[in-house]
Amino acid sequence: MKPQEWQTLSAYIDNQLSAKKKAAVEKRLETEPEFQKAFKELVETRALLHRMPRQRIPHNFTLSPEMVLASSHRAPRLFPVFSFSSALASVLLVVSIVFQWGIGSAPSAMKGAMESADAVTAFEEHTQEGAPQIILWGEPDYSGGAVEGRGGNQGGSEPGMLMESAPGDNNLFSEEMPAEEAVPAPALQMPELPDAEKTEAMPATPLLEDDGPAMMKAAPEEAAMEITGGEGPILGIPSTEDEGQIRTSPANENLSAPARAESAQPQLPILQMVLAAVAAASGITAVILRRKSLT
Amino acid sequence: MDESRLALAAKEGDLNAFNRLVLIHQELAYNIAYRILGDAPAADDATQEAFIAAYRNLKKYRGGSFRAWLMRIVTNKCYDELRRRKRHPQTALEPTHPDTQEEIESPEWIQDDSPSPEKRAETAALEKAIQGCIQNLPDDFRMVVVLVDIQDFDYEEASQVIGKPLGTIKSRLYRARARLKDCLQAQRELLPSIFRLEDEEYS
Repeated sequence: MKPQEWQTLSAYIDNQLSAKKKAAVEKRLETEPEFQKAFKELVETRALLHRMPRQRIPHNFTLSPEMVLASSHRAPRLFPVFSFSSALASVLLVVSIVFQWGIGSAPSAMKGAMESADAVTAFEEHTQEGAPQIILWGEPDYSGGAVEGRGGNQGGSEPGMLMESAPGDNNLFSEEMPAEEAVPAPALQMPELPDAEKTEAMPATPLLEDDGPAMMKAAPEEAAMEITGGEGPILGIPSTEDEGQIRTSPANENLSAPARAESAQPQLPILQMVLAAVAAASGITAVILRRKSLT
Repeated sequence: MDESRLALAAKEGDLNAFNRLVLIHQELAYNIAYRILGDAPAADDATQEAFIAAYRNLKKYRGGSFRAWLMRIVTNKCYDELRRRKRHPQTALEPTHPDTQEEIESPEWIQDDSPSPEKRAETAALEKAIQGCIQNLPDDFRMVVVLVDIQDFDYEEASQVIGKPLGTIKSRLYRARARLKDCLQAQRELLPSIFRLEDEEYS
């Protein structure tokens, strides 16, 4: 007998078949001995089950007020919620503290990059604000030596100009500093002369416009070495092909990572305080609920 | 007072109304638990816990068959006990005769209203054989057989109690009956006298 046939017989016994299916079963019962035998066995099984005696109850199961009260004093449903939230907040607090230590132990190079990035940022802000920037180039060299004053731009730079930052600034001078903003130092201020006159005023100096870049190539290191020191600006003299180009300082590119880390730091203590408060509040609430359920 | 009014009063906090419902349904609840769990103490605990749970959750009763709603709680408590047994299996300590070391029959097995001791013993043996076959069924099959074939629930009500569709009830029922048929056939070979008695009653 197939399982489907057993199912049909079982439903037939319980009068759960449609009229059509019921007729089909009854026809098979009349003609198939095996189907008949299976039907008989199912009927006997069901009858035996039906005749199982009813068990007497050992006692009445009615409820007393004490039983109802005792059942209501079980652990409240919110107890596990507060317990879990307290534990979770504690874990997150520990993770944030560990994370903070990880940021604090960043290598000193990042700090230096941060400081230089700060210098650039401050310098840019300063120039954007329109504050006069005193640029002092090296001492004018009319003997044909390195002309520091020609660094950084194609025109407009005056010989003998020293570049120095405004007092109090710890600026990093870069080639992006437009030469038009260069202000000659009072002590070494030279009268402005047209380019032709400049050339004539310095006959001994083989200063040709074409030589400017070449001279500048030779000069940058010396100028940088002479000027750098202490808190003075670092003179960055661009190469010939980079003259006049506005270049983003590499220090600015490194600004994002340390600045990001630094910006995240002030938020961590706030987060830790919040987590500590949540952990404490949840834990205290859980303890109170537990004590109430036990009393 | 009909059940629906009693249930409504119980929902509003009337413990006496709820206890009247308990008195109406406690025998059915206990027998269902007993046939499912096969153990009187366990059935006692499950039934009591079910009534306590029913009182606490009266707000969730939204009308309809109170009996079906209550028996669903009973079967759920039985499921909990069956799961607990699977996690922590225990060996039942049946009392044994000190001389023969044979198991002493529990008083419940021989408790019935048969007139003669012999008939009483045979009935007890038959019941034990059938109960043994019922206990060998998977939990889901056992639930359906107990409700439909032992406690005379119809398919719809059994579907409400177990929380499964009608098709599932029918499928589990025929499969349970087929297994019981085979199990009882084997018992018949071992205890022919018992089943011979039943055959005589049928003829």
